[in-house]
Amino acid sequence: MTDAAFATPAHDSARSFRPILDAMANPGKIYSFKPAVQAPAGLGPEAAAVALVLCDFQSPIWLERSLRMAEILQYIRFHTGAPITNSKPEAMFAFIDATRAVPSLTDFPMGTQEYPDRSVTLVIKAERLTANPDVTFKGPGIQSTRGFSAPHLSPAFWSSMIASRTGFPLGMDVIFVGSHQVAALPRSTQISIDGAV
Amino acid sequence: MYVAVKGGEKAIDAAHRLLSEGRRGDPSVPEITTEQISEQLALAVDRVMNEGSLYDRGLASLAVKQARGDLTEAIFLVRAARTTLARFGYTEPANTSAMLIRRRVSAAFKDIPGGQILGPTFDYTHRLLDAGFDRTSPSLVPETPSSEIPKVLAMLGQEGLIEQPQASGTAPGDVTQEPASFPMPRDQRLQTLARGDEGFLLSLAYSTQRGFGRTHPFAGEIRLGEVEIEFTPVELGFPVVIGEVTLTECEMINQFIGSADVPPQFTRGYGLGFGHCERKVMSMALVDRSLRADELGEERVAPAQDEEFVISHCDNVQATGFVEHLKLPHYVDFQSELILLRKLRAEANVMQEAAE
Amino acid sequence: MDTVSFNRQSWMRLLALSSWSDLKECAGYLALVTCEIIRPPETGLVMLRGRIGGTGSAFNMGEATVTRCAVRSAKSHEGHAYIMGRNHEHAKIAAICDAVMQDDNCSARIESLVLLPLQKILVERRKVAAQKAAATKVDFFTLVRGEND
Repeated sequence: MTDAAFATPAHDSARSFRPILDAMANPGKIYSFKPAVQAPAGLGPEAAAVALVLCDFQSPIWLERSLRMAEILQYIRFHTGAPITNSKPEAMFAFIDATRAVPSLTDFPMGTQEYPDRSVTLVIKAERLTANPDVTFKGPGIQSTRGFSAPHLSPAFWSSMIASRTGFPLGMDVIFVGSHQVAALPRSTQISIDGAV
Repeated sequence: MYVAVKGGEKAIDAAHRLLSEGRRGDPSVPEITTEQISEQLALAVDRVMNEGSLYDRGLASLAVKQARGDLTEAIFLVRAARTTLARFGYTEPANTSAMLIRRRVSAAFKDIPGGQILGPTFDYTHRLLDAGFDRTSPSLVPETPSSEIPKVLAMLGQEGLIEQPQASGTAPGDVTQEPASFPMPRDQRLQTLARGDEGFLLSLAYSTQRGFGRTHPFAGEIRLGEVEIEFTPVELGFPVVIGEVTLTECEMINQFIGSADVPPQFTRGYGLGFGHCERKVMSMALVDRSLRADELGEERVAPAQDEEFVISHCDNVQATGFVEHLKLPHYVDFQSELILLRKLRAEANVMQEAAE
Repeated sequence: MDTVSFNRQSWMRLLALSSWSDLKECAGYLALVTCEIIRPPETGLVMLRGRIGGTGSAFNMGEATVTRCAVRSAKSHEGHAYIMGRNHEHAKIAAICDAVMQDDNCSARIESLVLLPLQKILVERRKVAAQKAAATKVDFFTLVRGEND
C-alpha cells in the first residue's frame, strides 16, 4: 500500500529544500527541519523529505540494509521515480540509518576528475544532532570552527570521512537528519576529531 | 582595478513597462487571446514547440504572445519554462507507422497504397495576398479513408533497394543531460537537429542541393498526423497511452552507394518534428544525411557535412544568447582595449619621431 | 457482476485521449467520489522518443508536459493517471476513474456511463479527421500519348 507524501508538492518541496540548502552552505550548523510530509515509519519524515526533494529517476538510491523494507522501497520508487540499487558504485544517494548500522564507505563513487559531481551524497539518519564538539569542522561557510556531534557515528566513520577528503575535489557530501533537524557536511569542509584543526 | 558599476534599476523597470505597453499596442484594438494564437497562428506555435523542444500548445501560445510574435524570444521563454518542471521519464518511441494521417505525399512514387493525401498544404496555393482568404468556403465533402497507409520506404526495403534502419536496443543519448562531444552518435545529432533553428537548417539543406556536399535527394515520404504516445510509469510497470501529439515526419531517399560487401542501394535521411513543420523536417532529413558522411565513407568537403560546425551552431537559443549579449555593457573590456590601443599608438609615435 | 470490455490499459488510454470538455461532461461527477489522494496532481515532463528512419534505433526528440495523479478509493484500489498537458482536474478524474474501474461492483456502470460515450466521441472525431484528409486524396489520370496504338 502506497503512502502519500507531500500534500502540496510544489510548496512543500520548496519549503523542505531551503533548510537543506542552508545546511549545505553552512556546514555543521543544525537547522530546524519539520517537513510536512507523510512517510513510512522506518524512513521518517526528515529522510523522506530529503529523498523527495533531491532524488529523481536519474539518481540511483542505495539503502542500508535496515531501510530495505517493502513500504520504504515502494514509497521511494513511487514518489521519486528513483531506481533502487544494491550496488554501491552506482549509487548517487545512499540512505543510512546510523542508529542501526553504518556501512563501509569505501565502494561509494567519489566522482571523476572530469565530473567530480558524479559522486554519492550520503543521507544519514541519527537520533539527535548537537553542536557538541565530537568533531570540529572548518572551511568555506564556517567563520572559524564549528563543533558537531551525532550519536552512533564512531571515530571510524569520521576517519573514513577525513580519508575521503584527500582526493578533493573528488569526495562525498553528507546530509545528516535528526528528529526535526538537518545539517550537512560538504566535501569542502575539513574535519578534525580531537578538536585541533 | 576592477570597478563594478551598479544602477539602472529605475530605467529597467520603466523599460519593462514600456515593453508591456508596446506589447498591448493600441488599446482600442481587442487583445488577442492565447487560444486565438493557438488556433489561428498554429504554425508559429508549432515552431515554438519544436525549437523550444516542449510539446505544449498552451505554453507555446503564451510565449508567442508574451514575446510579441518574436519566435526566437518565444522559444527562449519555452526553454526557460521547461527547466522549472521535473522530468518523469522517457516515453516509448513514437510509432509513426500507426499515425492517423492528415497529409501524406511521396515525390518518389506516384501510385502508393493509401494514395497521395495532400491535406492542409500551402503547396498548391497561388501565393496571392488575398484579404478575403477567410471568407467561408463550401465545406469539405468527406470521402472514405484508406484502411491502410503503409510507409513508402518500407516498400523499397522489401526489394533490398534501400538501407534498412537497424534498432540498436540501447538507450539513446540525451543532449539535455550530457555535454556534447564529437564525434556525436546519430541519435544525439537528430535530437540536436530536432530542436535546431529552422532557418539555419533550411540554409544548410539548401547548400547541399546546390553542390556543397551533394545528397541527391528525393522526398520518399512526408507524413503529418497524430500519434499516440505511450509511457511506462514505474509504479505500474506497463505502458499506458498518455495522449496524442501531432508530428511531421520526412523520410528522404538519397543517392545510392555500394561497397565490396554491399550492393548499390539508396541511403536515407530522417526528419521528425512537433506539429506541422514540413520545411523543418525536410531540412533536418537533408542535414542528417549530410552528417553521415564519415559513416558512409564520403569525403567531408562542405559545411553541412561538418558535424561539429552544424551541431554547435544550430541552436538558436545558444546563438541568440551569444550574439545578443554583445548589447550588454562591456565597458570594462572595451576600456582595456582602448588603453592598449592608445599605448600602442603612443609607442608607434615615439618610434616614428625617433626615426625622423 | 457484469463483465466489461475494457482492460486497464485501454481505459487509461481512452481517459488520456479524451478532451477535457468531453471528460468533464461524461465523468465530471467522479470528482465527488471519496478517495484518498496519494499523489496530488503534479505537472512535469516526459521526454518523447522517435525512431531513426521510423523503425530504427530510438532517439530523444523533445519533451512534453504531462500531469500525473494517484488516488486510493474507499475499497483500497489504487488509481493512477498520466495525462499529457497541464490539466490537474483531468488527471484527478482519470485517476479516480481508474480506481473505481478496478471495483467489480462499479466497473460495468462506469463503462456504460463514461467509457463507452468517450469511446464513441473519440472514434467519431478520428473518423471525421480521416474523411476530411481522404477528401484531399489525388485521383491521377494519365493522358494517352497514342504512340503505342
